[in-house]
Amino acid sequence: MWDPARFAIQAIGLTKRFGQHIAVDAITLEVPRGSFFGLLGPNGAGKSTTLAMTTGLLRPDGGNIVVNGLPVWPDPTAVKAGIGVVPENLLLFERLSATEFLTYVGRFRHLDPDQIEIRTEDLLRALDLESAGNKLIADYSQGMRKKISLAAALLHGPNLLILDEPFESVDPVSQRSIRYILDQVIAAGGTVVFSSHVMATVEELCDWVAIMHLGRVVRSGLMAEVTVGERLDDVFAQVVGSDVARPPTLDWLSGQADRTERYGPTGRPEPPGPPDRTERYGPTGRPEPPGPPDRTERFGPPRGQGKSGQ
Amino acid sequence: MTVDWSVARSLAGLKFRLIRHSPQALIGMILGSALGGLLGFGAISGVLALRGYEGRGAALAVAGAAGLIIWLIGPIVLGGGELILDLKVLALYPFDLRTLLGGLLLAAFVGVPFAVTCAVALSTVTHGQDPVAAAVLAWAALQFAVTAVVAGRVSVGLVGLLTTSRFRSIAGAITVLFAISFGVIAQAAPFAARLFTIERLESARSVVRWLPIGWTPEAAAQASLGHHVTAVGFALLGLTVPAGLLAVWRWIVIRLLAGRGAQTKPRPAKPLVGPMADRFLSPTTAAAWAKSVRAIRRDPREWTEIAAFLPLVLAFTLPNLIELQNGDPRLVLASFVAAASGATMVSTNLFGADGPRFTADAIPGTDMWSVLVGKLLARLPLVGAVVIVGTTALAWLLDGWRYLPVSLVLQVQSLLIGAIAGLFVTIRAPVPLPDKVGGLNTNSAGCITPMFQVGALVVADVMSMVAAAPAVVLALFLSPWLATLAAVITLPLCWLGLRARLRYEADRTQLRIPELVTALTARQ
Repeated sequence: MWDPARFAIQAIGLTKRFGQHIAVDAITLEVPRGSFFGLLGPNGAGKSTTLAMTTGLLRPDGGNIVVNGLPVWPDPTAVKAGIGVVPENLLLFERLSATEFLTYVGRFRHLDPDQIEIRTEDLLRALDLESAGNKLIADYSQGMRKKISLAAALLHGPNLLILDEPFESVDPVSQRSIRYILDQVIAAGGTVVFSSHVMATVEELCDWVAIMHLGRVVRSGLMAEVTVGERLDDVFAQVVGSDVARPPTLDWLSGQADRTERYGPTGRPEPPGPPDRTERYGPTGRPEPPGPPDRTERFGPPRGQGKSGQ
Repeated sequence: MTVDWSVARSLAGLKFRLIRHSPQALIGMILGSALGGLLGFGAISGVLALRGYEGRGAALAVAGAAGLIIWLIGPIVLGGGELILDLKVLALYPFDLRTLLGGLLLAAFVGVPFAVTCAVALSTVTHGQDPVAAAVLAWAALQFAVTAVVAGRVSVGLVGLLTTSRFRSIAGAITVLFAISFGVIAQAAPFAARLFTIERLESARSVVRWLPIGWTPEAAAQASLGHHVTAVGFALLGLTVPAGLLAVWRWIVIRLLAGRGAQTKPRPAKPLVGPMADRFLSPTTAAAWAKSVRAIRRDPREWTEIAAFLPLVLAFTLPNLIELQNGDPRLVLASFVAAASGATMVSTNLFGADGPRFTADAIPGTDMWSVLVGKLLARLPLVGAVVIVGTTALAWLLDGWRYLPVSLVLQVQSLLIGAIAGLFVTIRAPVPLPDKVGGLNTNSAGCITPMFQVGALVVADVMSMVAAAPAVVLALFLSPWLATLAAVITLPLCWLGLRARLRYEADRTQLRIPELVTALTARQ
């Protein structure tokens, strides 16, 4: 059942509802230790909700989740100490400079002041933020914010990194630096879990993958097992359904008639009305009054033509 | 597990560093400190003045309970929740709960509000007629200050737990209105003071002493009257209040750290543009109008600017209402200035406070004429409604009905003039101005734009006075009906003026779109 020696993350029956909407529907997810694990899914699939529950940011409504051998709920403090997180909405103190932010993060994570200083310098250099170290985070671009969030996640040298869309809005050069850093984490025996929409990145980086759709894990396993020789984006399109795989056509973009031209001001075809009564009932428009019931239907054949006569 | 005070101290330090780096928060803190200092000084003077007063016990008990109520609802109105040490951000880090609570409390204790509350509460020690009474009063004072801070934490937490970010921005916007209305409330204070008779205070005390918010203040009241045992009893009872509040706050923080459910209830769709707007406006103007009306309804930043006009009108009129009752009916004629001021205030910032909002108007390629007309049409009727109600009330108070028709026409005229002046600021000095204006690094944090707005306000008022002068002279010296006629004749001229201004500014904005987007996005 629970195997912390083998899995960095194990979730069983994990469920989250928002009102009537089930965002995560009793999923089972196992992330092997030392793996580079990609969590895929279309928008609204439940990836970010799953990661939020895994990192102790969102309380699940059902199921259990164990991270690094520790149950995340009810008290996620111990789990948080051992992981690094880049959440979906980054969660930064905007009115601090990058250096100040990392210093506070280091203090919150009980690092020595010297250690904080050295690691801050290293991280800012590695992520090409050295020149912006004293600038307020509020003035950063989205890509820079993503990088400083990653720096905060790496500062204490966690053995498990959980990253929500880490490459989104990040320039190609920085993406390369981030990949190099993540490779280092893996090489040191750590585990990296990240969600992404970019199939090429996931295919290139990850050795394990899980695809979520409508709150469920619909495919999971080693990359080679999941793709079975096909391209990951083809597999993804098959798995999440034809609606996503075949986008709707926009005829009017190619100069064809607009829907309002075809269907009138509503832009929708007229719903079929009730059939004309004369078509159904003839010139009177009324159904023929039912005649007296056939006695044979009710009582069988007339006497004398009974079964014996057949 | 004990509190890790080094981390708790870091949290408190973080709060002040965040405030230091945020001009708005810093200005808020400085102004709040100044205001708090003044209020505290006034409150201490009041407490000292109560010595020897017959109703001192009741006054201390009621004032203390009122103080705790202010601490409970104050954070909701003032900040709408914890805006500095955001628990959503802190949730990422492995804080032991006690340490986190300790740090947040420490951050709340280190600040002007606590210092002022403490000083005011400790000033009650002067009511002690013997050392025992003084000691109990000191105990009650400290307990009161601690209770107040914890109560503030609970209300801040509740706002975060129970409401959406939209509610919090609305609460923030209400703060602005409260701040503007403060002058009105302060001027009404002498009238309110007459209400506090000893009988009424005693009656209020008899109720609040049995409520948790009244227990600690009642201890002070009893001690000031020399009833030591009863005072200690109430102080002990009062001790349960911060303890209970701490438990509630702990529960709230745990829930805030673990996130909360999103609101997913679907809302029925409404038509974007109503049939009236569709009939009388061009499609683009109707769309701009509808978009603007929705923005005013949904975005507190939009409606605060408009709603701020109301307290301004009240600030000028309310304190003088009693005097106005015996005043000159000709004052009704002056109400057009309010219309000019209101129209200017609501039209100086038509494109909002940031680049994305301006870009949202500029990028779709909508002609700027329609955008400007739509935005003005969404705002000016609101000011018009306020001014018409105000003027009608004034006419009723002063019995100046005969001046009402001319006054209403002059108001329409002044609305147009105010819009002309406001448009100038909207186009030339979009809010907020970037830090660099014409190569000069202003580091203004948006301070220059309000100066432009005040300038536009003065210009609009002067222009409207000039335009209204013939009608006012006629009303005063010949006939109000002749004056109405004169005002009606001037009206088309003002309309043509606004039309020309709109056309000019629309063309100019169309050309300046890249420049404006660059300037506005420089702050992002």
